[in-house]
Amino acid sequence: MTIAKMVRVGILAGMAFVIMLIEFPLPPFPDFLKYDGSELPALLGTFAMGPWVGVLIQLLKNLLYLTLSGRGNPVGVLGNFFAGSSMVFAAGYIYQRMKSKKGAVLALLGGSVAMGLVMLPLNLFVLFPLYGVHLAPDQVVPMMLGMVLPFNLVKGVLTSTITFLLYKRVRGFLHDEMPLAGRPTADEQ
Amino acid sequence: MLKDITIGQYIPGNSIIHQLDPRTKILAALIFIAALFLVTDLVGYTTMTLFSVIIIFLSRIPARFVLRGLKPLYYILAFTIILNFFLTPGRVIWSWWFLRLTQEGLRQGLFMGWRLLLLVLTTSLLTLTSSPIALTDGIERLLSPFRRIGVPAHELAMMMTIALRFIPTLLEETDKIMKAQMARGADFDTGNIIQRARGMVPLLVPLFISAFRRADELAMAMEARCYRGGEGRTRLKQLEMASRDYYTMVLMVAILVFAVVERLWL
Repeated sequence: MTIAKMVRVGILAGMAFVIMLIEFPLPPFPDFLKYDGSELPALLGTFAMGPWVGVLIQLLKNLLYLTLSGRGNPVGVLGNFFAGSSMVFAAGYIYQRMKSKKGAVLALLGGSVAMGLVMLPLNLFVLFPLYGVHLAPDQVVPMMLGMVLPFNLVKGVLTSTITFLLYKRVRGFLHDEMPLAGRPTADEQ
Repeated sequence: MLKDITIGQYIPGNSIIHQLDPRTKILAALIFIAALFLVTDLVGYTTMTLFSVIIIFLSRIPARFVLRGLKPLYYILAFTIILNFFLTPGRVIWSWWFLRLTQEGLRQGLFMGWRLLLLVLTTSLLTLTSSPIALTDGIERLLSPFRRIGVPAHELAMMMTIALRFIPTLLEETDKIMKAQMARGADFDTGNIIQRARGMVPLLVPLFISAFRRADELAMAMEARCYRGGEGRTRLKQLEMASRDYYTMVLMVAILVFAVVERLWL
């Protein structure tokens, strides 16, 4: 990993952490299912530097959240890591093979779907049991398809929309190393 | 505003808990969490609670700071308890559609709520008594044996440090850009969810560009100073295990053994 890449990953992780603090509930879902756009920096990172970099940003973001925010609940952090990682990994994997606007749209859609799908077994077999909940067969469908899947899909689509709007503007900077060093800041201009 | 968000929980002090090596504290927290998931009954939970209370007492962190850490937990706590009440199979007391309140559920719900409280208490104790930099150093040292199988321990710690360094800058910058765009008539707080998402763009574009610029400048500065990774790096503060760290580890292993025994035989 080059220094330039390492520093970018660090700063994107810091940014993801900051965005993660600005969480808000999504109206139809209960209050504890909060939305935050913190996958956004990881998605841009994954577009610029490959799928594993996205996962790395997710890891750092969650470590920061656990140690800095004072809101960290280890089980929630674990869930966020896997949710975000599945999204950015899938998105990065698709985008790596199709570096175009169309590729970005497909990548974001694929990422959202991947997150929705990964979170089903993860919730059912890992997260719910960690909270002590073992669903009976007739309860699996209403909980999973009624709550978990729609929440993650809405979350994915919302983050994807913002990422796409952003991607169009910052795409020029994403692919080179250090194109911006030495440029004047906004206040110096 | 945004830049007034308090970040970091660390409360400096020189209690015995503060003085423990961050590696010890991280491992101890992990072992405690493992033990917490093993214990099953009142004896186990009471022991674990007693242990946490003693640690809080020893750390001399005012109780209100510890309790403040539990506040964001209300919803998820209520949710956990309610889900357990209604979704645990067993003797049904009351039911509606796919929800069944059972006797076992009542017991399970209370224990799971209790477990969640202790879980968060442990993590917040770790972050209340160790600075983020100490924790980062601790993580680096704990991971360094795994370098041989390709875990980039030093790079991970360096990226954490860079993130830590830039979080205040990013907050300040977000605030500045928000105000600048509001002065130009940008609207962040009204409209439906899609309009709000669109509204974020004029905030995020300059934020990302300036963050990338900062990143590139830092990278260039590091290259200019011949940064070459963790190999042969010297430190101002060398982490050293003291006897108190070894005693702590022995105690933690004892707790883990207790939890395993409790789980399997009691």
